[in-house]
Amino acid sequence: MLLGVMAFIIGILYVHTNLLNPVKGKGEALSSAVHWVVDIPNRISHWADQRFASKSDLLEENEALRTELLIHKRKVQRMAALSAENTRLRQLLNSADTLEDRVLIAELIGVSPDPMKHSVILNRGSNEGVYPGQPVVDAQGLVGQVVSVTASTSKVLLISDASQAIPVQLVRNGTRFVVEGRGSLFELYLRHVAVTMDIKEGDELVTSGLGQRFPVGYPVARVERIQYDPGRPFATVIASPMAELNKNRHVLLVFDKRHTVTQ
Amino acid sequence: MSDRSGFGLFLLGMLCLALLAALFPMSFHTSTFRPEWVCLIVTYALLYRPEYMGIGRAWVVGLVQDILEGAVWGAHAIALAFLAYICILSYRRLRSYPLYQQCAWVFILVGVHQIFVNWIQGLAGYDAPSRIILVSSITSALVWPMVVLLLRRIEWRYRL
Repeated sequence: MLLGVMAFIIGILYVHTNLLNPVKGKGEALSSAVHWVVDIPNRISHWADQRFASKSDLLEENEALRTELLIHKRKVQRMAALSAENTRLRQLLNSADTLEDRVLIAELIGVSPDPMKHSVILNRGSNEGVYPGQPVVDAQGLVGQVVSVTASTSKVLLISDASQAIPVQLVRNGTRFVVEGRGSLFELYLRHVAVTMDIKEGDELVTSGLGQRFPVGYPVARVERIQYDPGRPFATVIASPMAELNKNRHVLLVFDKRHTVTQ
Repeated sequence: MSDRSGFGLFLLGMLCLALLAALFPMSFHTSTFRPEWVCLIVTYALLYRPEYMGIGRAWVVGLVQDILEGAVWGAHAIALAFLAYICILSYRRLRSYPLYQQCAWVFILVGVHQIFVNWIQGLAGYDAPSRIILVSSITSALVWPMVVLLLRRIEWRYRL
């Protein structure tokens, strides 16, 4: 009975106060160490996959990558000209320059064991300059943000977590929304979308940078379905995340210039 | 845990293994089906070797699980302490049941455990839909005979 009450009190303290914060850090460190151990079988199979790939497979993959590289190189050539033009135009308009973001590649070493809690653990920590609140992206779009950091690992809250909300913007017309996770990997919800709003299925949502947390312009999700219910003031809009939240093993930590200056 | 037979050490090892199994990275979808390994091992000890497991120890095991899983601290602690309380009241009856009937009981016990965990996690806004609670209770009940037979076999083989 007493122990039950004690556990309950610890739970309340954990959720509603920050009295436990110093101990929490220790717990995180221990937890990430154990996650590292648990990940060993996966690392071995990954290693084996790389070692025992056949020569023809490798050649084929090499060929595919070369083709892809060529396509991207062509895009980058145009990008250079466009970004130069963009800078010139911005100077003409006297607006602040958007800076290129520095990134760091990180590998997943752990996944939250609770299916309701969407967080992952990465193999980069404060030694590499990772900080809480840092945005994380993959090749397709925004993955989440760093919520806690130990010396060599960091915990990332995914955009699909029930406690995550992100300020976004519609690419087509620039309307601002807040998109929030509901604990489902393939569905995000848009809050407070008036029924008269110009929004269509297939519309792309990118970060608006308004929360001062995520940098501007990273793709977040694509509008999947819109349901209008005459009894409700707002439409129910469901979007699917761009990032491959359940598949990716490597992600990018984005260093925001603003943040590194203030640090 | 000073004893001649070495069951204490064996139990500790099994609990560590169960914690690792509970943490093993799986996709969010498949981890819905993950049996509650720690809960099963604690139940086993409570039913068959109650002199090694009590409310206090179950509570400590739960707290360790919370810390390692990064769940709200106290969630598994309160659940396992309550589970231990039920089991201590009824272990004499439960262990005399045939295995299939035990499975039904384990389904209920793990379900109660899950409801407690869910209650505390709900304080932080992570309340699971009842489907998830049901599914993991069912898979736990299904692996229960395997756990019992395996652990009993090892105990008899090495006279723990």
